[in-house]
Amino acid sequence: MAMARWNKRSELLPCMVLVSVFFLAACGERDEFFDHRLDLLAPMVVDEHLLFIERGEDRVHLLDLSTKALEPATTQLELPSNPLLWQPRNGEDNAELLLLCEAREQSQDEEREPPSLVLLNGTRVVRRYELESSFNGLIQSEDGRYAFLFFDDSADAPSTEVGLGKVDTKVAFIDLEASPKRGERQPSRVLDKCDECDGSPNGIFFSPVMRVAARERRLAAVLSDTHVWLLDLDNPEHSEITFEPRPEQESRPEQILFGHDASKEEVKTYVRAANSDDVYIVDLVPRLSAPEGGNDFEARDTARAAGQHPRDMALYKDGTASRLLVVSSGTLEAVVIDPDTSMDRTETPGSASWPVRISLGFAADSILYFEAGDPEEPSVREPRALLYNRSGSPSMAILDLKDVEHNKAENLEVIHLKRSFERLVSWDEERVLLLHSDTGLSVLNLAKRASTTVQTPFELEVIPDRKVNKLWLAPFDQSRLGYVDLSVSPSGDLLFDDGEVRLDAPIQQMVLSTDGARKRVVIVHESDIGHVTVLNANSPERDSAVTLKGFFLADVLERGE
Amino acid sequence: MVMALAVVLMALGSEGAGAQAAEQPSAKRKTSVKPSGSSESASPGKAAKAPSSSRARAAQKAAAKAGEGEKAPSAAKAQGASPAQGPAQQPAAEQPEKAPVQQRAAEQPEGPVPQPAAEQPEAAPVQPVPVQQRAAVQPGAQGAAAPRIFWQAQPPRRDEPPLPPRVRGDAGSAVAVALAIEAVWNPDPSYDLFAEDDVAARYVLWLGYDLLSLSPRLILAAELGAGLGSDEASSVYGNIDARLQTVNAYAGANLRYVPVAWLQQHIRVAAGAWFLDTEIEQAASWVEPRRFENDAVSPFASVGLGVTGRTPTRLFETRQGEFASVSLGLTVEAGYSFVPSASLSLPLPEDDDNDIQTRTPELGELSQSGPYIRTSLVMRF
Repeated sequence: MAMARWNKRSELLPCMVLVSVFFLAACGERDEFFDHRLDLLAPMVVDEHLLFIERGEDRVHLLDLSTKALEPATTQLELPSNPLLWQPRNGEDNAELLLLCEAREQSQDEEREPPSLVLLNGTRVVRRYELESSFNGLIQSEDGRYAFLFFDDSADAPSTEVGLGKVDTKVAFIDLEASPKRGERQPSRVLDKCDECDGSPNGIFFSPVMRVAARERRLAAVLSDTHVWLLDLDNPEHSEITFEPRPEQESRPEQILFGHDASKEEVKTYVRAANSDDVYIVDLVPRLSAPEGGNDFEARDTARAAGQHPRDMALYKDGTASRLLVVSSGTLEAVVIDPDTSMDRTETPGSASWPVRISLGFAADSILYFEAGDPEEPSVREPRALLYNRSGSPSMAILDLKDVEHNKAENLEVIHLKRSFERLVSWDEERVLLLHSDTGLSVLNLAKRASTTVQTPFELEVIPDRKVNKLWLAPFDQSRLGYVDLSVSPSGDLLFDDGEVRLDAPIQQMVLSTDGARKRVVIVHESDIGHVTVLNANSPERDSAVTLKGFFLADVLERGE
Repeated sequence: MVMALAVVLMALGSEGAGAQAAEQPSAKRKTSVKPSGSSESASPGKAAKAPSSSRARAAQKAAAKAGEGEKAPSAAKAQGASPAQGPAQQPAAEQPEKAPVQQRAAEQPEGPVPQPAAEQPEAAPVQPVPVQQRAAVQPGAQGAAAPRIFWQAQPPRRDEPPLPPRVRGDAGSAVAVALAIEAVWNPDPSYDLFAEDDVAARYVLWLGYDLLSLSPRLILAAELGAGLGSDEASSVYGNIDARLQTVNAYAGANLRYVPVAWLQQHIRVAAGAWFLDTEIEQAASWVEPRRFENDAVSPFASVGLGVTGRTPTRLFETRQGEFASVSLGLTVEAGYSFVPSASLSLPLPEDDDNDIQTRTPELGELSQSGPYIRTSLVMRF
């Protein structure tokens, strides 16, 4: 009997051992906060904060760069839904950021979120605009007042996966100065694209404030393959005006300029199309009687010959008269047009003939308008233009625009550079930087019409920073940050002092934070937990630099459920 | 038969006492029990009476005369002779029977061997009388009268030596050695950085010693132990692996209630030191530094209630009384560990005057307190 009892107890042994094993089984799962992958968009600086936007999550991490003592910790902002694309807001010195967020479908755990455009600064969401459609394209006006949203079907546009289908027949305008209020009409305007506007818009241009039909207003011009679509931004109840440069032909309008003469209350719109040798001048004149719901002005257009394949145009004032400068790559010439002169050339003794054609000797496709002196009279500031080719041809020219209709080719000075360049950067009123494809860069003084070449040690991408008068040289995967100081000496010349800072880790990306009070440059290193080096942008030195590591894990133990 | 057995034992004891004198038991306390009247080791059929010296000599002579020209009987037949037969000379083939006695003395286990108080040396085997001799004896056949055999002692069976008397050892078991596995539950979200779930395993080795009996059923014991536990989480934030290792050492007291020998309940309190070591590693191999290590030390305390099931007393005891106190048991205990939260941070790189000034963040407070269930395999002796 004793043995029988013992046998029974021995059977209990494995069962009781399993008690502990049972409790070793998954009892409570890890919080999902730790399971998601930290997938970040490229960092950017907004309002002296380094922003890391999480792709696929409703979250942005902010690293404060505004304090003297930099802290290795980020704060987090919750976003309405998945951010799709972002842009610094124009005209705000990088103080605000525009985020276009996707809609979120309703699920078991979450309510449906409509698509929205979010305006945020370094600490909070400033405003949020709910949208009626899912857009994936965003263009702002130069002053940051308006945002134009559309559906971009180009190959490199971000794809929006939300929704059963994408309705690409709508566009939207949002006044970013207006605050959305509950129960009131949103400060946005959603429009159906014009019937003739097939595909995604090719571009949009915003006019300055102009007086049209005795009213101050701003216009927006949306370009399609065949039409120009003019909208009155200040009177959304007005219907749109469409203009077709070449009827029944795909002219592909590319560029629009707005000309406004306040003294005459004349408003002209200049349209250049890729598939047309003409430039179209559209006069906006008041209607004698405005139909109900219709515009109180109308468009009257005229076409002006501008050589062959016009590639760029610029509008300037010669005294009180408006002039239009056009460069044509097909005929290797620059054409100056008087918009107030008819197409017929009038050649009378002593009078100018329009348009004025000046042969360049090379194919120019870009115009940089500036006002500066010349070698003979450096202090006399007059309208001039630098004519060059974006492909980097070493030939370029400076055209003095004053009295060009009389002096013609005498006002042209062709400059031959020693090397071709890859990129042209406007540095200040009198200087442009020419970045060469091999090591080095040139500084072209437009007033003196002379260039200075600086050799740099390695092939790199140059990041110009006019806030601190430096060119930053941040080669990828190298551990040295180089710079060229372009401060102006007392004699008016650039210093061209170069230097470099040795870092403790390779460079993955460089971000400038030089718009605020503390001017800093941030080097982002590759890391899963966050790794940056912050330097003083005015005097970048190793001794004053600070490295922040692991800031994505700051207070991670407190972030759970 | 009982008296015969006693005589045999006395004879054996006198012969084996010298051989066993050198094998005194160790300092372990034992009590020896004299063999009782009812023997546990000898079967009725195996008892052999030791013949007197004169009888043995007479039997030898008779056997020598009757056995001339005949084969010696087999040892099996000799052993199978009935106890009623008289003493007979052991055939030559069975001479070595003394040797088994000496061999048995040499085979006694080393160490503490209980010495029976009245162990007698084994008597010389009695010579069996060949059956054939009896058949060859015919009245008047040779003129000389053969001795009449009325009784013949049967020698003990060689394959069943007599068992020693049972000895009772001390069943008291003051010492306990145990190997335990502890399941610790940590539901705090801070623990999720280092674990895939909320339960961690810890392996504990502990030693206990009964200090005193507060009452016949209440025993106070002291305990020393050390535990080792670890946990790991992978793919945190996608590319980070985090590991946590704990080592604890403690001293405690255990109050044990023993209503029956095989089932005991206890309450245990303990306190000690808790060593924590954490490691955060980036998955990318080309990133430097790749690994961040952190450690902390803190005190801890625990309290638990448990129950033990153990083997019956003396289950493993031998006839010599050895291993009387040995028992095996399984203890299941539920309790709670109180451990202060550990403040963790990412460590700064090693001092290097050439490095750019570096700042790392605080990770926060890691909570380590929580309930546990401990299962111990205990051996007491």
